Order: sequence, then structure tokens, then C-alpha cells
Amino acid sequence: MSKFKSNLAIGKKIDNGHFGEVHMADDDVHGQVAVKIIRRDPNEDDATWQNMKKEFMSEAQLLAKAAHPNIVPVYHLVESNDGQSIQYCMEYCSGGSLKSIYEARPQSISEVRKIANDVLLGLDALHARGMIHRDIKPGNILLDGNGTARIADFGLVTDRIVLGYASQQGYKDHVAYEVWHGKGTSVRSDIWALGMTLYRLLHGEAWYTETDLPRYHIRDGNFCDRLKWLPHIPKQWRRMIRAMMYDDTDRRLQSVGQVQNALSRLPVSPDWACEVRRAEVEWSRQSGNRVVWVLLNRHSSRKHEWRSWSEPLTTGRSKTLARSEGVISASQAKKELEAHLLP
Amino acid sequence: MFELSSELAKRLRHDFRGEPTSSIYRLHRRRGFEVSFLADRWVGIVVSGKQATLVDAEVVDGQPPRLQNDLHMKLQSGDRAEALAVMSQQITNYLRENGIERVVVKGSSAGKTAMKLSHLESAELRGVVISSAASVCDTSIKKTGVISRTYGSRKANEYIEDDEHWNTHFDGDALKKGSREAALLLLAERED
Repeated sequence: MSKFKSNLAIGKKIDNGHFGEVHMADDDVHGQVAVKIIRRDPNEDDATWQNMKKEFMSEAQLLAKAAHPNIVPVYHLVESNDGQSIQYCMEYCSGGSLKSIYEARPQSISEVRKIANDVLLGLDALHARGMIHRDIKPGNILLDGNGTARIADFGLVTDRIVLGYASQQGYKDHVAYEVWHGKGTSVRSDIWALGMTLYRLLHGEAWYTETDLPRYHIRDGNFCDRLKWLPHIPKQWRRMIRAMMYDDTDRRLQSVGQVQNALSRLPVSPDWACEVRRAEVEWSRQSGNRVVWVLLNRHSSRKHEWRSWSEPLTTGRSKTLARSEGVISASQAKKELEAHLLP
Repeated sequence: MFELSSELAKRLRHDFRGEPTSSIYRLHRRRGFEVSFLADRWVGIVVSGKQATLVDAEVVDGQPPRLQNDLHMKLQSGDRAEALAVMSQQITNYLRENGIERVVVKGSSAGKTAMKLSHLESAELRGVVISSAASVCDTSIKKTGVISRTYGSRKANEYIEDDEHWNTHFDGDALKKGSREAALLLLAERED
């Protein structure tokens, strides 16, 4: 790598990655590309930086082998002209990463299944080639111009980096139980991380950050039993995600094939759209020529109230479908909403 | 001849572009190079209802096929066109990523009972599986009746039920009984 100097024209910043910023850039050969710039930490001594570069280079050899429709192609790695950063040049995916989608709102179950199917194909390819991703999370899944999800940033993370260097917000939330306890990463730790990714996509950032963050609890064990579910997530989905996140790696879903099979059995209706706000959670879905709405008012952490009604798409009157008997406890509201949202 | 670790062999199944190298190995064999450390990978597929059963085995001349994977791919629920597309991608992905050289699919046959919608839908799925496999590697279709006539002296179903036959003709304890029909496709294909 050090023999090759960058000829990239770096443009505007488009994202913050695990190790550095991601910029748009123009490349002589590939045209518009995305470039991850991994900068040297000012506090890092020469030996550490050289070692880091060496690690990236050895992993870069794997990247060249990973051509696949669900993997973002990496064109090349070059060293910046001042030797203080590595530029990691890859295809530009115009749909951006799932991080912004995750931050915006919970995704519907049909959208998450589509993403999961795409990601599993890419992950299956990596695993079949003897590689482990080690950093599956919404920010590392990009959408191309056709809306196909593609895995990015694989091969850059080593076991040493997983717990040693990780400082990016959210990253440690995807580290499996056994990795916290000193065991190396594996196919099954990738599956754990994908389970967490699917959970985050189904719930969105607002809901996800309402409870203690996983990074403080995973190492204590039984984390999958602590997951707090939105009431419209079907039981089968919850079971599958928990099965991807068991502490016991022998009990966990073992392979991409097993996850694909589990996913194939999951229901995708009713397919609610959901918005989570500070004091309210709102659901909607189209049913024939009407739209069904459900609104949960969270007066406090313990006192909730909900109602459901339908409105015509064109003209007509709205109809009340169901409601709570005034203000009720949060647990009672959850129970009633599960029954109403998942008939 | 030498033995490669399974990990290295797995990596060697893909060339530097990530493409399966099976065709390169075939080419090398034709040119007389000794490349027998990599056995061929064949897959037998039986489609039944909403599921495809795949038996993936290493095939080496003069030895029983060695089981690599026994898996079931289920058609996902919901929109059928989308489900068939997903199944096609999964089949293609599996065959390509594991460097499969040859696929044998159990062919459709007219049953003794009246044709129902479920039979037609199963045949649709079979068509998707066949076309997906054929886009990756050599693919042939074998009917049970043909196997009964050409493989051994007994009927296909008798071989499927015969535990002793599987102990001696197939290397793989993990082969499920329900997957023997797909494995028999590989045994029959090798006899041809």
C-alpha cells in the first residue's frame, strides 16, 4: 500500500464511520466513489500506527476476493500523500446507510425482512469464503440505487480491534456475549450482531434509546430477555431475534442458512407503519380503502391511554375501532395493544 | 498429491475476484495437472411443497460421496413473487459461494391423485430451483422412475428405506433420513 499514493479528489463528508469519516470523492478510473479516511490518532506512536496500517493491509487482501451483489465492492486502499491516513475507496451507494433510516423511525416488518434477506445473502458469501464480518450494524449496511442492501466495512475489523479500539457510539451494542467474555469472534457472533441490527431497525432510535443501552448489560448475560418490544412486533419475530442472540452459542441459530429458514416462516402482516415520539407512539396501515390508526399517549412512564380509529382514503367519516378505558397502567396498555395490533 | 486444510480448500474455491474456481480446476485437470486434492462438490435437490431439500456432497471417484451439508430452504411467507425471487437468490448464492460443480434436481412426475393447486405451486418452485441452479453450474433433472430403472437392481424407494445401503454408499452420519431422496440423486448421477 505504501507504494501507492492517493490520486483521489476528496469531496464532501457523507458519514462518520467506525474508524473515520466517509467522504464522496472522484476517482480517475471509477468516477464517483465513497472514501473512508482512517486517520492516525495524534496520540498514537509510530510503531502502533505502522502496525495498524499493516493490519489493514493484510485484511485488504481479503477484500479483493469478496465480489458479490450484496457486498459493497472495495476498489483499493491507498495511503494519503502525507502518510498520516489511509484512504479506503469503495463504490458509492446512493441510498446511504441504514443508520439514517434507523434514526428516522421503526421500519415495518416487511421492510426489515427485505433488508434481512439481502444482508443474509452477503453474509452467507463472506462466511462461505471463511471470513467473518465482526461489525454488522445499521451503519455498515448501505442501500444502492435499486434499494438493495449491501454489506460494507468488512475485513477492516480484527478481534484485537473489537474490544480494544472500539469507541464509536453504538458499536459495542453489537458485540456478542461470548466476545465480551474473551472468546473470539465467529460466524455466530456475526449472527448475534445481525439479530441486534434487526431489533434496532424494527424499533428505531427513539424507542431503542428509551432503555439502558445494551453495551452496559450484554456481558451480564441473558440480554435477549431484556429486549423491550414495540407491541406490533409479532411473537414469531421476537422468538427469531432472541434465537439469534442467545448467550449460549450452541443454542443460538448456528448459520446464515438457519436464519434464512427462520426468516422464511415469519409473518409480514399486519404490516404497521410506526412513529415513536416522546409522549406518543402512533401506528397506521391501509386496510381496503381505509387507513387504520392507533395512537398511544404516554402521560407518564406508568400512565398510558390508547385509541384506534379508521379514516377513509377519500371521503367519508372516521370510525372509532377501540380504545382503552381511560388512563391505564403501562403494562395493561401493552397487553391491550398487542391484542389489538396483532389480531 | 497432498491434503489441504478445509479452511484453505474453502478459500481456494474462489479465485482472486471471488469467483468459484471450479472451472479453473477442471481446466487444469484437462491439461494434466494433479489437482485431485479438491473433490467436486455436487448437490442433489428435491422440491416438495414449499421447501427445497439440498444435499451437498464431495464426490471423488471410487469413494462414497462425503456429506458437506444437508439443508432445507423454505419458501418465505407473504407475496409469492417476492418469495420465489428470494428462493432463487438463496439457491444461486449457495451454489456459487460453495463452488458447486453439478446439480441434480428431482424431476416432476404425474402423481396418482388428482392434480391440485398445491402440486402446480410446487412445480413452479421446482422451475425456479432448476433455472437458478442452471445459471450457476451444470444442472440435470432426474425422475424417480428413471433412477429405479438405471440405478442398481431395486426400486429407488427401496434404496431410500435401506439403512445398510446408506451406511456403505454414503459418507455422512448427519444425513437426515428425509434427505436420502436428494442424496440418491447424486448416487444415480454418478452411475451415469
